[in-house]
Amino acid sequence: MQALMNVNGYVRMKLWGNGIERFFNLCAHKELYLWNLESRNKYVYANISLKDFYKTKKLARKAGVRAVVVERHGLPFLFPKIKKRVTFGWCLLLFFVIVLISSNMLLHIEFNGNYNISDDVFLEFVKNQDIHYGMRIKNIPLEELEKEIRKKFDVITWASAKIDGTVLRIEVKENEKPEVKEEIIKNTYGSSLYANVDGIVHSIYVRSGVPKVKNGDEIHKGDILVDGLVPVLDQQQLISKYQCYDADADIYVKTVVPVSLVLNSNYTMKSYTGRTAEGFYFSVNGKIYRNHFKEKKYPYKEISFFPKNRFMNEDFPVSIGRFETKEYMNIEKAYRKAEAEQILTKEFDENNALLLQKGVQILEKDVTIDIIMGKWTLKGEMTVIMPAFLRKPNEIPEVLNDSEGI
Amino acid sequence: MEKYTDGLRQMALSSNLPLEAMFQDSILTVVGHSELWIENYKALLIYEEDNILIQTKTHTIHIEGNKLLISHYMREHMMIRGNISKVTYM
Repeated sequence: MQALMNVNGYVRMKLWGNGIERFFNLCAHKELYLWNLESRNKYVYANISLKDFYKTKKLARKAGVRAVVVERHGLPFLFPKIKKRVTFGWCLLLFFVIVLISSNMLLHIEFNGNYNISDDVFLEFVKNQDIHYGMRIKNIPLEELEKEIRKKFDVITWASAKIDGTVLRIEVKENEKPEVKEEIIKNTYGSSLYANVDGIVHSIYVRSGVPKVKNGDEIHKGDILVDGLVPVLDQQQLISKYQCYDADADIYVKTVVPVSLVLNSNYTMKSYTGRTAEGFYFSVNGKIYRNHFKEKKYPYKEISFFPKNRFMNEDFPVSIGRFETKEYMNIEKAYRKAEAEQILTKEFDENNALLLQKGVQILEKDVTIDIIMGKWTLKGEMTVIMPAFLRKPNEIPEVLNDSEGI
Repeated sequence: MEKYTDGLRQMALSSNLPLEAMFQDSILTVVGHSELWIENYKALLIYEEDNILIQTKTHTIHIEGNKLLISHYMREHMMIRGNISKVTYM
């Protein structure tokens, strides 16, 4: 009853006069509902619905009672306030519309139970299945997705996809003991290791196969280093057949590597003119809507976006924020020697760091920086110790066709 | 006329018929000394903080107490709340 009164609206009135009791009797006769009647200091207070309050005017006059409204409650008294704030009203409506629309959209994808397969790989896979943020939840083929996950990833033994509000939750169980696939292919004649650079063997440690070089030997590109064919001798010490293996060894070669890095002598620099334009933007599904009237005359411009989705998820397809456009001019400038040296040395050091990660040991560097053909060039040589071999399949001599394959 | 009504009342009593339906007698339901329901009343005669006088078809009911408040006031019934100390039929 109270909830209904709140929706329809009610008032608390203050009554005074000689015929208050008569007024109540007249109200009862007209079937007007009154509640919470309270007598206090010759005044009587009573609640009455808004609709009935308008009917009491005549009755009050008839009973010789004066009535004033002291409190207003309910929705009808709230709306006039909203009416005055038109923008607020529209925003409120827009808010409800956005909530209604977004409640039917996929806003987040969550993965559980994946240890070997990263979330990024999963997300990429899910996107390839035509499931993307902002799509309708009803259109997500959950059963097909589960099947595809099991089909695509061998390590996954169980997969479940379910919708929880606007979130797609994918739970998987991975096989704790994944099957190790045999890398050795049956019925082949193995493989041997060959040199892919010129140099001197620094160290060689063979695990499988016959070593053909030793420490300190000079080798050339294409020389065999470890042979995968192990000869089997007969009683006359002749080769009767070969046993075939995949040669396996750690071979480090000391070699000289040429180095060359080039940097253009000129570069383009942005020079900001100081003219800027600011405003608000609105983005839906990655498409940005903004006012770019001011910046139309800018020949070159740099736009920065500052999203303000403070209360929204990052994956939410709708976002708002501020943008700032700066005008700039392109200016051609030439590198000074110190600048060019700094840039080239930095790049050279970065490349060396990558080589170190790959197991290359640098012994000596001999590089110079100079202008060659109008460009800054870092040129020279490096002496390094590096793993250097190439694997090639074995070729069986025709006379020994009965060799044992692996 | 009074004799006739008394006779009917006696008949109703002896046949266990509901009196309030036959003679529009008022029904008073009192919960402890803080709540009182009155049905079938005719009019409210006096309403004050410590004193309420209600006219029914056959009697006038006088309710005394303090901080008396009418929670619901409708044509058929009303509910009084407060510290009720005395209910008198006059």
